Amino acid sequence: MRTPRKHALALAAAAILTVSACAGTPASSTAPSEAPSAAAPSAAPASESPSAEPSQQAYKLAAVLANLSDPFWATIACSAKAEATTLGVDLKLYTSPSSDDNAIAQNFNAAVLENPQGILVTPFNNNQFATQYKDLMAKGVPVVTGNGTDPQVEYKNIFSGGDTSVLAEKVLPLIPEGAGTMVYLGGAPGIPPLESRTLPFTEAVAKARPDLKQLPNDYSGFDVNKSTSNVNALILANPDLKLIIASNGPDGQAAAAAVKQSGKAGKIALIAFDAVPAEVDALKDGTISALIAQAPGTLGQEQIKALVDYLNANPTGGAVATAGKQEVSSGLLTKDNLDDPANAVYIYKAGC
Amino acid sequence: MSAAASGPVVGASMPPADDRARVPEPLLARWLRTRAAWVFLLNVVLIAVFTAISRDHVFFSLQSFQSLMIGVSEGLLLALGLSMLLGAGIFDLSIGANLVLSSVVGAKVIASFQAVSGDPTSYADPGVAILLGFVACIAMGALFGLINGLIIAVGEINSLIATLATLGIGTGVAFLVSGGSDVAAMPPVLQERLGLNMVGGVVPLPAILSLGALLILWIVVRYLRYGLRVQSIGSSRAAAERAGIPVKSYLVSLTVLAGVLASLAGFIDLSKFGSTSLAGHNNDALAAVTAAVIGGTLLEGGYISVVGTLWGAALAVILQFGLVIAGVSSFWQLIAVGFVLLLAVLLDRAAAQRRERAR
Repeated sequence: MRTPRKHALALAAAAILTVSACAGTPASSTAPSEAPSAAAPSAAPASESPSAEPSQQAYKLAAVLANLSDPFWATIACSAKAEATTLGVDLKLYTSPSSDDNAIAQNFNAAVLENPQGILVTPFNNNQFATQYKDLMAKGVPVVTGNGTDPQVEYKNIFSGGDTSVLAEKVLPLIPEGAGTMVYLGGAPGIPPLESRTLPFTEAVAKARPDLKQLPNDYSGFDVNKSTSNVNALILANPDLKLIIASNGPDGQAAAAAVKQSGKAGKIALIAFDAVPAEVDALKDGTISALIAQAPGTLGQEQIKALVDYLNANPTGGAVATAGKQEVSSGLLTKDNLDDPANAVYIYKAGC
Repeated sequence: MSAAASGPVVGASMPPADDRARVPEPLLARWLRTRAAWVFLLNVVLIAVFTAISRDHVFFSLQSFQSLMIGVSEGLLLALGLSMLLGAGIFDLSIGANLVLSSVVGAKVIASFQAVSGDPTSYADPGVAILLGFVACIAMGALFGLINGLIIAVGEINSLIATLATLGIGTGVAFLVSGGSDVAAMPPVLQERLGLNMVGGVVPLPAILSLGALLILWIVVRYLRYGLRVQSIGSSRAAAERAGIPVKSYLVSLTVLAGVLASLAGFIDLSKFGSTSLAGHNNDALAAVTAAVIGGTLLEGGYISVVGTLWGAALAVILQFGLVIAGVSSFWQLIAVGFVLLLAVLLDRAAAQRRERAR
């Protein structure tokens, strides 16, 4: 009696693991089928403005994206897929739910094994694949990145603009008058893309408001519960706290909960980076004063467009040369401009 | 209690030891022998220190204690579930995934009542939506626990490996159901009436729920046969089986209990933030086991300290909160938290050695 039951359990466990393994990388399994296959198979002359019209070739592209549990990255993946559909190319996504370098490397290797004609890669360790990029580019495969190498070896680095200091002036009216304190919630230390985007803004605000004493930076490790507790403590310890700058979605969500809990909404200006759904809700109800959001939809779109543009312009192949960087600027969202259609690109989507 | 009643019968010819002249040990002395007491005292010392060094002694204020109670609510529920499992000699690495998945399912059910997708003000009847969301959340947690229990008890797979697998599966399913993004736009009343609600303007509702669960489990462990049997399974599973205890049923019931507690924590999480928090629970299992073990529950099974678990869970929260209030930098906070947790265990170890020498 025990043996058949054990066999049944083993089979059930195997089935669950198989299903979960397939479900773990949903984008990679669905993307190929979602990409159109109706594009003309024959070669066509390169267009003058190639990406304006659907591509004449069903180029085989790959995108290696990580941290898909973050709406920012999920939105990039969605917009990349949508742009591929628009341009009539075959895009296969290789995604991982975390920012683990090893998982990204496995996905990158899997993508390269399938010999794509162009590849979009966004590792969290910028120079992780610099050598492989060189090999691919020598073989005529353009590489576009979201986090660029230094010195640049990829074809193009299309990234979110770091100079958010220009937005500081616009948020100054939202910060209560008078001397007090301010604090920066940094998520985790040592993340260059995050710091280069958020610290210039913080420094610009501190410069414009010298009467606000900066408290030591707080790092929660992106743990929402820990961050909520920390912000509660900061509010309690610093009754003159006038400004909280949250550098990321989890800290923004946590700070909003803490400000609401302490009944200080409106008395403390909360400026948060990113525009995840919870932050957008808090902006609507007035707990968050303003959001500084990247444009992930534009990023994914531009990155795929750059690959297709290159392939259309270079039908004969040959080694790929680097072509510089392209910056996509961030935007400032407030309760008043949130519904403006022009700002839709700054709102991170929960799904495609 | 005399040895005649409880002591071992060495031989028929040997008279039982007459301990009538021994003075019964005072209650306080007995209490001080427990690890829970040491951790409680450490908490008291920490509160005194943070009160002394905080500006205007704000650490010792109602608002501070409210924040602490909210902070400890979720961790306590998870630690209680894990304490019960540890008592029976099994482990659960998947409680964080269970919390996240349950909250996602609950949030999805609530969101399905929106008249306008993504609009938190468009609920026709937020009360019904929240109630059904709560039921779905708890049912998901129980189902998750049931699956864990069947794999461990019926499949006879090591609990560490089994829950390592369900940790991945649960996290993946949560991402699939949520679309990889936090489910937001919950009715504002959820946060106002539950997550951030102060009963009588004093005690956070999440803390009352957690303490209610603690009280029930304390009664179960201290006075009911169920608690005794759970600990006997942890002491010696083979002996428990030989004594006729339906071990497999007990293990399944324990994993379901831990699953329900995790889902309750998940619903508190949802109500506290007004949205799910997919990324905030990666270390929940480790934090829960730390709280349970520091509080006196035996890692190897056989003994559950319910009250100790409360002090263990509170220790981490008090420490973190106090260090921020004291203005200690984030990097030093990590070091300080590690040291104090180590100190808690060393103090208990030193006390145990003193007791050994005194015998």
